[in-house]
Amino acid sequence: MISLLRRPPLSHNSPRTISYTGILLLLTIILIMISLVAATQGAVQIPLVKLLSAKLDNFELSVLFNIRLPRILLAIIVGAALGVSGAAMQGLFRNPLADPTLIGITGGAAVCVATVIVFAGQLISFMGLYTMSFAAFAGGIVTSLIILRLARISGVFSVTHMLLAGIAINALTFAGTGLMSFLSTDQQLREISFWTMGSLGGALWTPVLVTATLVLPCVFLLSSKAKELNVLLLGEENATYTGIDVNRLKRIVVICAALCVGAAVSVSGIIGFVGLVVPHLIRLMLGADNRLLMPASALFGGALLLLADTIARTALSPTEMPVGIITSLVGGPFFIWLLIRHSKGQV
Amino acid sequence: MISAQNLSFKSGKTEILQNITVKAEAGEILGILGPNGAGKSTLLKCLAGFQAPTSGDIYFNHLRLKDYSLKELAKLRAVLTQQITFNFPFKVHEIASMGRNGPDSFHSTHDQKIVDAALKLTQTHLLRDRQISSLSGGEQQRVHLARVLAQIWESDNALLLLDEPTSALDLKHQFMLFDICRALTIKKNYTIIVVLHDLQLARQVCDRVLLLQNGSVFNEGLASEIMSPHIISNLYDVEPERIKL
Repeated sequence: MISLLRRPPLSHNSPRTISYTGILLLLTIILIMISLVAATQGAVQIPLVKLLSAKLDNFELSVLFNIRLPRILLAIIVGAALGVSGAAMQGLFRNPLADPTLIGITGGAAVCVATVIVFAGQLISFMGLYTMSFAAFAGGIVTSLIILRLARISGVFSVTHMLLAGIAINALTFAGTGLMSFLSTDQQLREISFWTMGSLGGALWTPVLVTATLVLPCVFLLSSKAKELNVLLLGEENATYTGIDVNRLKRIVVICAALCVGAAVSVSGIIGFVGLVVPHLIRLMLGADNRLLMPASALFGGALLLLADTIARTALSPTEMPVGIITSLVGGPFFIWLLIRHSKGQV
Repeated sequence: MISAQNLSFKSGKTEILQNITVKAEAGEILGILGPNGAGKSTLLKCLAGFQAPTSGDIYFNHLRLKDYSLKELAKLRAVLTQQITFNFPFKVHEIASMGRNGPDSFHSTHDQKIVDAALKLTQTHLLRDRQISSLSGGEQQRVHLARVLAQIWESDNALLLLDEPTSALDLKHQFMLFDICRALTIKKNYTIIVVLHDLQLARQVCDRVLLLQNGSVFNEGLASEIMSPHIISNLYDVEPERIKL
């Protein structure tokens, strides 16, 4: 995944793009280093020296391959999905405060997954995780479309409308998930509440493969649309004048972002604020060009969620915190800081 | 060259444009003037191909406007819209490059040269690495002008539509803008249509003017003939003695 992500989606002849490649390479190296550290940490410590020299005994090997590696990969994929979908939503809404969790897309996905768990349990056993992913995708896409509609009631996209619509939709989806919990049997309730906490616990190879097959194509597609997304920031009218089919672009972005969110939500529940924090930090450090922002958000999102998850599972060892708590603890204050900056016109 | 016959546009039940017939020849600057809400911007959006008229036909270089694909049109027609707000930290040259950012264009050195030339033409090349949000309104307007010019840089007989392009410009840059326009009409045979509020400026820089009132054509003709105190006072409902052209 990493070696594929490294390649920037566009031309190779301008000096800008070469430095973009360098930045993406650096992010990849950071991601690999965090992965190595994460691989050593846990209930069973695997010394880094032993890991790198490949002198592991059978027990350590089995811990690494059956427990730690899937967990690490899942954290990276989910983080990448959340990061890139945040960046895509912000481009679509032309607003740096759009985040799949804040504006209710994650909640919409959650409600659908809860519904599937309660009413269509047998479907899950038939088609496995893909059922959950596509239910989450359907929920995500419906909420995305509703918000797109609501945000432009006044004719233009406005922050206020978008965030207010998000509050309303979050309240609705919260009620919906609550209703599903109420209707569920004990076994289903356990399943729902495990999963709404936002955790990467119980990561196996199956969820890794399912999410990877959904998320990676979306990351590439969104990265390949980066140039058009740049122009879309001028507004739909101006983007049309430069020859971009805006409606088609919007459809692609909504579908990809909803697929990413859906895949992430179906395996890890609600992990908030990654989609807000990651693209923002990239913009602060490296600029707002979507050609860099899209792939960098995926890489950096993966790295950040992996770091958070490693802390979540080792800080209170032997018990494990849901990683969603950590991301919200960091993301909440960050969002308030952003709001203040935004109202001062500094975003 | 662009022409519209019996153009009407309805939004919901309100008729914004009624039976407008207008023609702008290649090599000419046509000014569109009129009171607030007369339909100037809507007419420009129809001529730009962004809004489809409810009835009537528009021909651009002898072909129906709606038969052009978005990409074909992008090479031959550029539009400078009124205020563009930007929430993201982009640099001036990145904004100007968006004019060369069409779906199948390459972000090549060739494009970069065009962008730099366009920035130079609009006297914004010294601002090249500044954040767009740190610029004044007039500077931003010139950067967007550079973007728009870069878009149709390589075409002859192109159509350039400007919606109140001087609203934030100082006097010097107002003249700079129309010097550029005049040069483009002479050297590259551009058709230029510009919505203006400044009557004296319009009289100086436009070849012909179209006066709109309540969505209909009020008058049209040579700028020097049409823009008399008598006609203008009728158009804007102002006493003739207060108008000095």
